[in-house]
Amino acid sequence: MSKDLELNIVRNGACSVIEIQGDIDLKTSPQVRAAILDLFEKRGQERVILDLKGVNYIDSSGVASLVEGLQQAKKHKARFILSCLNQAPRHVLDLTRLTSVFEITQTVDEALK
Amino acid sequence: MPENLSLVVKNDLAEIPRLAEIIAEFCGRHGLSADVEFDLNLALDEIIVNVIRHGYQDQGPHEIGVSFALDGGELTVSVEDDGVPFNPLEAPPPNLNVPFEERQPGGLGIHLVKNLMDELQYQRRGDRNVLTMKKNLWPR
Repeated sequence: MSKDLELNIVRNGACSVIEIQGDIDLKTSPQVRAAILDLFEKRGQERVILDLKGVNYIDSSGVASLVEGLQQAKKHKARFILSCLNQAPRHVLDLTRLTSVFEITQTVDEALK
Repeated sequence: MPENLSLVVKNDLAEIPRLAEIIAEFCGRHGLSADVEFDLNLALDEIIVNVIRHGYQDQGPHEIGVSFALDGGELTVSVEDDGVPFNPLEAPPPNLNVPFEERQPGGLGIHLVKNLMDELQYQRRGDRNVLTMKKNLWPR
């Protein structure tokens, strides 16, 4: 691909929502990775939610950045939640047998509960 | 009657979006589904990025040939490059059965290609790698 990536981070106390618009690929995944790691490592967030409704394409580098995000969450005893997954990114997570590994919610509201 | 398309991309990551546009146009023209378009995009993205990042021992320009042949319910896609010999079929598969904490973040690209496409064949022809991938055009 890649469609330009837009990241919008909404912080509320120890919980953050990262709204992502665009493709998560080799060009853009470093941005996603950096945003996630910053929230866990520097800002001590206890819950990070990725709002993925604006994402229709993710490649292996994008998956790797999500894996790293979850590993960081576990390291910091925090939660890392994927919300609003579209069909194609879900298919990629299925193929990499990660669907059952991640905490996935249909909506951001559900992830905020 | 087969429908064919051949093109050349440079060993430059900036070519990937152009390739995606060509795939979208090809799929649209032949009424291929959004799922097929996604699978093609991702498989070619993974293969060509791999060639560009790891295939060359110099910094010079190289050409990567990509061709599509649509015949009935089957699409054949070939990628031909003059990089170092690399048979993706022999790449070790990622171990997806280890506990999550022990998983390595990388190594998923070839695994995805093998699962997105229905058949893969590799040949070394002279100084070129030729990867041929087939996709059955049935809904998943």
